[in-house]
Amino acid sequence: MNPLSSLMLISCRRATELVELRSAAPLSLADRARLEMHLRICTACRRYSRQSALLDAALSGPGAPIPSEEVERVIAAVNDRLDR
Amino acid sequence: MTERSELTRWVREYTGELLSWARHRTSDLHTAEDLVQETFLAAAESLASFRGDSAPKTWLFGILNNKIASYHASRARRPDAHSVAFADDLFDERGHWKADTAPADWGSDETNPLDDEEFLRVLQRCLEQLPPLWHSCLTMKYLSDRETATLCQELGISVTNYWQLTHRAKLQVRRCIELRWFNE
Repeated sequence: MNPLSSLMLISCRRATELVELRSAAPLSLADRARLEMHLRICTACRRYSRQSALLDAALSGPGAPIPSEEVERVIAAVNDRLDR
Repeated sequence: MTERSELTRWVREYTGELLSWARHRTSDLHTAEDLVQETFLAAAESLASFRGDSAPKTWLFGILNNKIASYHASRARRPDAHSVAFADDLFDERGHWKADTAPADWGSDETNPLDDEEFLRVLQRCLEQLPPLWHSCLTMKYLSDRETATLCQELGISVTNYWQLTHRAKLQVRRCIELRWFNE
């Protein structure tokens, strides 16, 4: 294995780690190159990267709605405590 | 009296949204109920200082977010929070996906699962299964624009540890969703 390819080859574990780190702050130039190279050749990690972004969007969203009878119960409980 | 009636209006208008927001970030409906109740009690107490600089909804969500952060912080301080939990190892000894753990094609080009309530419910169930501290790391990230360093301080863990746990949590939730949502 030549030095260049050993620089470029990272494991899928590391690649998915870098995908997560990337969402918080820019990666170093070297890590960005390693990740891009890895994603170019690895279908599974490309999927991971897309799905991770999808989960980010879902996790920062409002969440699944709560059934209305549950909401009504909490509204009643809140009003009850506010009147005490 | 007018203040009380204004508050009553907010309770009617925003309880539903506050509740799903809190449940989504605590993965526990009872906790979410408590936090929403406390939010309105705190709002009632500081109503006089609410000047209307922000919309009441933004103000209420701000109070709730602080309460959610405190919830995660106090949970992380429980003695059992740091007990080691092992996930299925998804990677082989060289760190590559195993044949049966490599992400499948979700085919999300056609439909957006985010608009799908059933997808969000599956996500909810998968979040509930995470070890508490992993869950806190993953959900705190989306709570507000907290700096990672602040968030780690609140959880009492190092930044390195935080990223390890967030990474593991994400891997586990992704896999759980794939098994429950796409294979059913």
